[in-house]
Amino acid sequence: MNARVIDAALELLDRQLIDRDGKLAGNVDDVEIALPENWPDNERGELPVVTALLSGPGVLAERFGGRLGRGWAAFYRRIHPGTDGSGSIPLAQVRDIGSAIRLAISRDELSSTRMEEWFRRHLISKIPGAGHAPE
Amino acid sequence: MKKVFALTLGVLTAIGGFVDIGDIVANTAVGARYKWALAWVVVVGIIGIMLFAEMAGRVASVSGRAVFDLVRERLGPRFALANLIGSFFVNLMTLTAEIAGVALALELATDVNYLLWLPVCAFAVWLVIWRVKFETMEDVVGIVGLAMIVVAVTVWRTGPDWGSMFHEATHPSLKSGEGLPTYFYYAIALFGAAMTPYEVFFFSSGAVEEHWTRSDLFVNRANVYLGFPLGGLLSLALMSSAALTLAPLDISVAHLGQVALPTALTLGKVGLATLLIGFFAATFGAALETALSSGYTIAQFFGWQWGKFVRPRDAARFHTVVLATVVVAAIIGLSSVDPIKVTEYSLIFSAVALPLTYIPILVVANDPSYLGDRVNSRFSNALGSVYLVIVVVAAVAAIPLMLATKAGA
Repeated sequence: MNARVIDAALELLDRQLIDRDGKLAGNVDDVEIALPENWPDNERGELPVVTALLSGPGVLAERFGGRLGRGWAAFYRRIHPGTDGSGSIPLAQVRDIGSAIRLAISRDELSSTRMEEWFRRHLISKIPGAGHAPE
Repeated sequence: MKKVFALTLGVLTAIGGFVDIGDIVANTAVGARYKWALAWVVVVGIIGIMLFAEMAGRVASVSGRAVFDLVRERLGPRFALANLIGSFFVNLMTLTAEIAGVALALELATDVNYLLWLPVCAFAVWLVIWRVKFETMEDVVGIVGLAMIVVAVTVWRTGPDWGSMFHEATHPSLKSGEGLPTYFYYAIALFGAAMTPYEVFFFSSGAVEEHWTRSDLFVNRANVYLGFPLGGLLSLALMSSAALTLAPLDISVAHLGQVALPTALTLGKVGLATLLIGFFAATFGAALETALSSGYTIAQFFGWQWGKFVRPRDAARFHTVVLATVVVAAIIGLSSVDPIKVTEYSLIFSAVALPLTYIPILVVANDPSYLGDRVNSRFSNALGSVYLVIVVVAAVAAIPLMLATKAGA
């Protein structure tokens, strides 16, 4: 296998996500790491692995910590009932990791783009010319 | 012809970004007060903005990532958020001043109070962003903005003694009664005006809007090396026209009308009319740039879809931010705050925000994972490091000097 070592903090965190249609789909706000059983004393020597990329203002707020972060996260949960607002993207859906991270799915499948939809539906689409194609 | 128009991003960035209301006011005020004793700051500023705009344009062309993307990637979300809040605040103040500037230019032309023009101007700014194609917007504003060259004609027609002008610029001295803190306060305001962060936000995002790629690196350089020196030349011309006409009359600049005075006195009505067209294009262009930049910075911080290269409905949050910012700026402007004062403060606050923008650009311009073999040369890095020191000194000194000199009073 042609392995490439990726520094998760430098090459994953805070990178731009681009969906399968080329639309910008948020940033990598955090990563999900799975710890093997009994880690770090796992007898088979298994290491923690990054299993998913997390995206969305709610996730970002958790990363901030402090009073600001907690307040922001609480507010975010309040306006997104029934979800933690994290667009969790399994690593299997990642196509390429470069100066941006390309996904195999559409951004509309991510729960983190709900606010985009809300503003599209309730404000931007109502203004004449919203669907006007760029030349 | 396409080649000519390929240079308009630099011209728009320079006309609207370099020669915006801030530079028009700061250069004229400084010329009237210090004559050429601060001309060196304009030169230092031009070289600085060229250096960093070229890096930002190069990163955007090769990797497709605009400046605020990089700010967050390299400084982490906490510092990036601090930068975002600071830059957004400066942007909003600048946008307020630019919209008021457009309205003031119309007041000078029509004698109708600028407060009546202000909502019309704000609406026009939003409408252009909503409907007009990026390239068209840039070509029209860039080319009409060239009317500002009339200021250079003014200086030439005034017939200055070029030798003594050069001598005063290279041997700066203060007239009696002027203190050094105030001199440096104005130096920082001029430097802030030249290096305003929204210029690199706009220029790098504009490169993405225009789909620049690795093969456009020449276009990037040409834009930077032509556009910004043109802006610098116009800044020096504004300073000189004030030094030649306003300084001997002891006029200190408190109104946009006084900026137009030298041209009106020297070139008459045609000159004045041309200058007003130039003012209009420069401030309108800057209003477009700052309004777009407010959307660019926030959207890039969060990773939202941004830009005029997609349909507005596909960048809903971006367009919402732009619309809201224009509305808020118009409301602040309508509260009849003094636009000239807003401008002066925005320059000082922008000096404070400079390091958080320029450090990440320099770092990423050295990262082969973004740029491959197009990373900075040693020369760019050496010069970039010198500028980082200048930028940090200016940022640290800005607020204390503002308080100590009562904002240059």
